[in-house]
Amino acid sequence: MGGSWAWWFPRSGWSKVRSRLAAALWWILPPLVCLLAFRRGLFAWFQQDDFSWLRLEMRSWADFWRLLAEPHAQGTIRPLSERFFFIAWRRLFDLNAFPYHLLVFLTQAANLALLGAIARRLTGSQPAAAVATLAWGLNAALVSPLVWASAYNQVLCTFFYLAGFLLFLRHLDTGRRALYLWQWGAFLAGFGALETIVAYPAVIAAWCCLAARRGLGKALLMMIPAAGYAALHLWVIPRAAAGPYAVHFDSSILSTLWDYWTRVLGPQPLSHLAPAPVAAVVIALSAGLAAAFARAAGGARRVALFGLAWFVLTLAPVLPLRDHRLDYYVTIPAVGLALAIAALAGSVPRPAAMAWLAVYFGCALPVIERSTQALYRRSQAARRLLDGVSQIRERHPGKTILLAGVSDLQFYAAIYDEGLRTAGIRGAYLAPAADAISGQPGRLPVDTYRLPARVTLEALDRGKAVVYEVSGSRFENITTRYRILTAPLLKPEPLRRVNVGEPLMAGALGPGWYGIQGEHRWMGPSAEVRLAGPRSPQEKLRLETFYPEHLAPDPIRLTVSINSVAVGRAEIRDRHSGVHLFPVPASAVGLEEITVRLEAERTFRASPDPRDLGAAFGVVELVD
Amino acid sequence: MSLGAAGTSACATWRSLSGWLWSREKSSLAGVLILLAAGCSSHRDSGVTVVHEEAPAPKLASVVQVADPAAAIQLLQGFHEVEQGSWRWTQKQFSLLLKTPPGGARGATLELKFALPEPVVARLGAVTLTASVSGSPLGPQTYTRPGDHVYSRTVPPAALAGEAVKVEFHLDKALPPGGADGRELGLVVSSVGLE
Repeated sequence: MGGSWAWWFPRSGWSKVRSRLAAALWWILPPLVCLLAFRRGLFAWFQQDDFSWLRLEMRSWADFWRLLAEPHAQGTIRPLSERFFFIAWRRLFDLNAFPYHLLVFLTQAANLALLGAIARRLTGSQPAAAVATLAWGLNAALVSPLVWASAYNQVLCTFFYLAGFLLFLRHLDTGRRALYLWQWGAFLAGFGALETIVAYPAVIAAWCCLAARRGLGKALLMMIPAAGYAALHLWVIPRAAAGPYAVHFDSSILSTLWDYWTRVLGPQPLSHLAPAPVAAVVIALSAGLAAAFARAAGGARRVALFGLAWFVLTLAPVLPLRDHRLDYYVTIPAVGLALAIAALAGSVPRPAAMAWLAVYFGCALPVIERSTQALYRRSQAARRLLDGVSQIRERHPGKTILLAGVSDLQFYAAIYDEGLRTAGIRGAYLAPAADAISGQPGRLPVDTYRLPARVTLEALDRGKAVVYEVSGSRFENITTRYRILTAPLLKPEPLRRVNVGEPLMAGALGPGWYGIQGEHRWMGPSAEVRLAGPRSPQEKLRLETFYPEHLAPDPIRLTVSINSVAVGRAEIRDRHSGVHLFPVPASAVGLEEITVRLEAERTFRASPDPRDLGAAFGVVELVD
Repeated sequence: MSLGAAGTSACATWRSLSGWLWSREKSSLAGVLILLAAGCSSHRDSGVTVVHEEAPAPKLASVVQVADPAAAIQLLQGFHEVEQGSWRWTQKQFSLLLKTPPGGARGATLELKFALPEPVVARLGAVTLTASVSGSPLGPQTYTRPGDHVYSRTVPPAALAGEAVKVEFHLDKALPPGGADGRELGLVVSSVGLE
């Protein structure tokens, strides 16, 4: 390999100092270029899913361990990259986003150094190492992981992959057992970052098959915990039967693989231009790789084959997710492509290699620039919204805040994932009839975040609400204008959704409720809520209750009826069984208003509280 | 290899690996640590402007000359641009906001002054107009001849709650967009009022 790279890095005639300087530049420049391309990520704020993780609150050490280990979104368990990261950083830095992103960039800097070292070890060439670093570090798949704190799992898992593999290579080179043990440590720690670490033993086994058969036994040994983890994951985490997370073991795996191949080569995000050029670029780049492979010598071929195996093996865990394809899923697989590119670039004439790389980077760089800017802007939109509403809350501490003119960008960046709650702002809602936010399939209706018209009118009449119009970064008090021009257009219909813990919705509560505590209310032996009548028999009554873990009562059982017609029973036995759905009786459909009656099978007391407690709510609502 | 020896060896390995990385990255690390300090000590301004003082409240009128620019905030839907400084074409459905007149508790009279142009009658024949105030329907009226007309109905007190009310009008037919005019055309309205 080294000889074929001579045209990249001619050594003859260089002085010692210049040689050292050049060597240092080979190490430092590629990572620097890569990090500079994503520089906006360092200064981005939080957005969307970040707020869910930032809300993880540690009240005790027992809480801490539970939060680390408990399955969250789609049953994932990522104690290091999500739980520990957000819990610890929130305690240390609160909502100062810079240290979060700094950790991401530091990890990425380590990844780039590790990849350079691996590529140098595999190809024997420093320029090839630089090409590998650039080919991975400037891949468009890295946009989300480097700009969006929630996607840190990809960056951290890459670290464990690369650190583990470099340690394994050095162990094979030196025979030092400690390196092998450290490699085990990196592999096992990877389970705390991302589930796809499960493919790591297969990756190193692939290398052993291609170039180091004596290490194959050690690689296969690592498949035991991987298989155990996979089995445990399948056993503990229920598999989705439908929806985006349903798995499909059929021919769609091939089309998904092709889709990710187009994404990793770069032009996919440009597909809005036209499908034909994208396919042409992908085919041309793939043909270029194939031609280089055909010309390559044995060593380069081995590395290229290993790179492609890395790509497929690390992608394998997400290939059955036919309906859930995300650009950042190729973050780790793209390392394999980068190794293949680095190995093959030295096997073809220089102009051909330069042309191939020009097309590859020419596709990736505009996407990186545009996508990092878009994510950065979305994060800043979230920041400005929360900052503005915080200032309003300071000015009006006891009033409900209604926001008019909120854009789609602001809503989905900050409000949808409860950024307001994360920032400690309660009692802020979208104002009725004051925006054009579009609903999105598979997401909660926008009205879930809107104060109902009837409650808005009452709050305005009683001077308990202020209305601010949001226009970019400007917030303007328009309470009077809204009251005069918009309020007359609102229809004070019965509520379809009652947040029992919202003081302004107390008018929809019948007898049987105690006062508000925090964000919820306790009911006594029985309680009632008045809702709008269902519009169709397909609608469901949805109850959202809280299980009081600190009191740890026996299971709470409720009987639920609508207009005296029993619709079902609910059992609340832990924090995961708080949400219940019930059919609505046909007799209630089309009525102006219905009464939902909740009766506790038994009540309990939590000394010294003298109240008879039934269940804590929550939300009572009709859903489609 | 004993466990202790393996541990010592592992520590030495870690030191050599970290040293290896550090020697190449120390300049970058120093740089990012400075950035960390800067990030932790400074809180960059998000550039938000919050105006807490309200602009003067808009003044609503009970009687609206639809061509009056000051009345534009009261026109909600279905009115086209002002023409000849005195009237507007409407669509098939149109609505506006009117201030509740003084003495609204005793009820009021809704009056819509409009013209039915000859071409409309020629093409559509008789046109029926209905209205509602705050959702309370008022009686329909059918117009068969072109010319100026006044639609007038008594509004019950129950429909006049609040500072302002939404008044909605509906025609049973209108000229569809097409030909020289791409707009849907209903009536030529000059004023609407509650008195």
